[in-house]
Amino acid sequence: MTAVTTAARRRDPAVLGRRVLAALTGTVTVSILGALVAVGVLLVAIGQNPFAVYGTLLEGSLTGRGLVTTLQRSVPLVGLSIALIYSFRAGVFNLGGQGQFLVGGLASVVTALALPGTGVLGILAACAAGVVAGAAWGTVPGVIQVTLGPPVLVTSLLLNYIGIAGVSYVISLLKPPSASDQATPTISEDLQISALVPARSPLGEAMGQALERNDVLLLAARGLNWSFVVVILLVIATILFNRRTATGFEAGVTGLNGAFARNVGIRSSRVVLTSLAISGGLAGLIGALVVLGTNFRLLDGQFEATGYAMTAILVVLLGRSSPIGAVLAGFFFSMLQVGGEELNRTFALSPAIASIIQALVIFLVVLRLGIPYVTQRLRRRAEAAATGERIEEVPDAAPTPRDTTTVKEG
Amino acid sequence: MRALELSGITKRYPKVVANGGISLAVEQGEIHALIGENGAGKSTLVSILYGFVQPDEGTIVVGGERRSFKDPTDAIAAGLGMVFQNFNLFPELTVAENVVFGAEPGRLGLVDRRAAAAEVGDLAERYGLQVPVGERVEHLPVGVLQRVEILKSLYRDARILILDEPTGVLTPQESEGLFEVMRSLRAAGKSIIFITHKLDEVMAVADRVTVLRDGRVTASLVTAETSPREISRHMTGRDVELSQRLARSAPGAPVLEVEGVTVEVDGRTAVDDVSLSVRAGEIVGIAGVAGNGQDALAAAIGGHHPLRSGRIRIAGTDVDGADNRRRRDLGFTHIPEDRHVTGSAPLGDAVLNLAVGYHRRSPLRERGLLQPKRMVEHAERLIRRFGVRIAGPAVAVGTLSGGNLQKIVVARELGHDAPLLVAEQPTRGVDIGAIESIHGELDEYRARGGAVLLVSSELSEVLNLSDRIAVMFEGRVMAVIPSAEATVPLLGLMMAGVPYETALAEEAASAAEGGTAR
Repeated sequence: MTAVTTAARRRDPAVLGRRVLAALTGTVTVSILGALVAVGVLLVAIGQNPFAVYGTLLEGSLTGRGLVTTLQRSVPLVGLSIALIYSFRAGVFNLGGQGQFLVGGLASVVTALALPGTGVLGILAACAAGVVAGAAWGTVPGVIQVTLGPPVLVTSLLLNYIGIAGVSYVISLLKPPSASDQATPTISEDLQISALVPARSPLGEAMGQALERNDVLLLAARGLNWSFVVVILLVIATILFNRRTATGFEAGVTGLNGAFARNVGIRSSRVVLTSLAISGGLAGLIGALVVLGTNFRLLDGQFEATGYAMTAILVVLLGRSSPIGAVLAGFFFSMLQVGGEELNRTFALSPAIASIIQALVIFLVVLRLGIPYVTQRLRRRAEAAATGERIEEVPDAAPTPRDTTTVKEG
Repeated sequence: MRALELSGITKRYPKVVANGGISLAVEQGEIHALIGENGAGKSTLVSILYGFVQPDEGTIVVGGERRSFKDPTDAIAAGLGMVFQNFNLFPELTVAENVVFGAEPGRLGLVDRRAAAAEVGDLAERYGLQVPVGERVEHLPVGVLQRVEILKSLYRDARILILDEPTGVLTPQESEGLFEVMRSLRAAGKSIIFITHKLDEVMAVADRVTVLRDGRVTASLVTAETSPREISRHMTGRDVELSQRLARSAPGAPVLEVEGVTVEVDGRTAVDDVSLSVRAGEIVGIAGVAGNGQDALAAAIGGHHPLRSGRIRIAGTDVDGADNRRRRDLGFTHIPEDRHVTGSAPLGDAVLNLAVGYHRRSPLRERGLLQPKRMVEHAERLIRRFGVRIAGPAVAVGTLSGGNLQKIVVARELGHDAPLLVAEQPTRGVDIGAIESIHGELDEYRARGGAVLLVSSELSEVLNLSDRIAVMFEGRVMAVIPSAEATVPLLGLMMAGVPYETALAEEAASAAEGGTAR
């Protein structure tokens, strides 16, 4: 989970071997297989061949145009998951990704509309506005928790609704009177994030001549924009942050045990605020990237409809707050969605099948995490009862004399 | 006559054999001590005896009749009574009501309070247990509560009483009182199983002693024919010498100065106008029954609790308003009371747990970046130096035994070689080997010039390690005395709230009578 862990493990082949074995027999693998089997049974029940269905799902999401679509959708999903990792890893349960994402998107579109068309600089300014707005929005629950006490878990979630309503109102102000959509005007082409290789660029034309029309490389070069690269850089930066910076280390320690962190000189309020600021800032950045690279305007309700922000919470859960885990889980979920749409086209199955698999995987992951924990607790409870000790979360806790004076204190 | 006989009791858990073929016989009218280190199998054996856990093998014979207990109700019906460490009493009810609860005299569902009070009064008198029968339990001292618990068992006609570490919460004088009660119960023909890990208590009160180690009986001895040394050898499998100390030099400048500190916790004065100082090369012990303000004082020194009044200086700097981080920068280190909750991140590996606090400066951080390889080396170095038994630095510390996890905490804090250490209950719940090693480390740290404030509810620990001893009672420091002048009775009296001069006079008087002074 931390840098340290990996570094220490790398030196120990036995630990490494056990780790590979653990990954293969681990919760995530087993949960995914379990979900596929369960849905397979459902498919048989409705008269479908599960192997054919899964084959189509894979083909539709991992080859050709489907692969490019999967990658496109992975960009915001993985990006938002990376944003959330900064708080979840520190033990701060930031459920406000939705609001931070949206507010960032709005700030960038407002900036882009206000700016004269100045190319890359303008894009950077609009992105910066997204970061600042997302960070400010995201930090509010932290300030509330640190000063007044109500937990981030609750306030961050509630702030989403304020965010959604507020953004909706601002959109209504920006909406051109003539337009039929509830949406901001479209930003100038100059401020739109371009494809990796635009079709009309010299390289794009050369590629177009050299490659087949359906070549996946060509599709990817034209279909993916520079946000893809930004998210890859974010993943790398996050790995480095967690492994190599004191702030990242302190966040990890706080997430493992907050009381311990406070006791060894880690300023926990600062960790909370920093984590939320980074989390919110990055979510805001992703909002900016979606506006500048994909939508080119902000349509009321469009961000919420994608479900990215909420799915990202599941991605972080499945990926166990690790950046690489977020990449894998984010890609997997995007793949299910894209494959699910293909199933709709080929078998006339509801695309909800993807959501069912997704939900089952998470369900099983939580269940599997729960089982050893539950049995451990039960066993300890029995022992604690047997010895008259207080129930401890730890196996060898000694009875503390202070606990014995319940009556005196009670 | 034999009151209880266990033979071949075996209980296996997935990874350990908690009890391996334990046999034990308790005579009627006998105080039988059960002694062993933490993890020796005492708790499991008692749980089996009281019906919480069923044995895999073995038989229980009570009063000549073979029994098996599905749950504690069966055990109570067979005449067993258990007094736990934590009491189960209703604070709002009187002593008599607590004793009869669940078996009230009366009819038609109405409780006959007067009959209850009379019965309990008779019972208490018969066994020489002094309790205020009609008083509410709420404000009674711990020693009295324990007697109420014993009465509960007697009221249910227990013939065999099991006392689980009953002296853990008592002052030495209260313990002496408990021993009196135990003797009078013995005289009345009751049998007592007395669980403890303190050798002197075994010698003081038990007729026979059964020693457990690693889930097996290693000795069954008649107390009058044995010695503490022999028992200790059976407990640990080797000779243990706990009281060796390094030579001391004259203490240096004060490193910790506490002046007139008052701390409120939940609107209650937890620390009341406390002044004390710890100098370089000195261990100052705080003796006191748990819950008399020691933990609030330690929290205040660590910067976790604001002062209501007074000042604290660390290495000469007033730390008013400074947080824990700033105090650590000034040279404060801390072994907290609970190694799992505040002393470590159990899910984190040893590298993480040992690097915390070192991670902001060279060599673990260079040019703003952590050095993972050096963090591993740092962990390996501390593991070697402090003799932690762990498979490797990548192992999660939550999987370690209590003693080894405690060594991780001690290693991290002492590894700083900072001028000040506040050590709270540094050896609670760890085995004798670890106690020995941690005591050695603390003593060496002192010899190198470290200042230690030692908070411990183990009087022997305070007496063995400290240069000076402060006794805390209800948030106040009763006196600070050189440990050479401290005796168990003197400390015990002050722990119960007797002022220093009175305690001194009382102790002298009882010493003159050839009393309990040692």
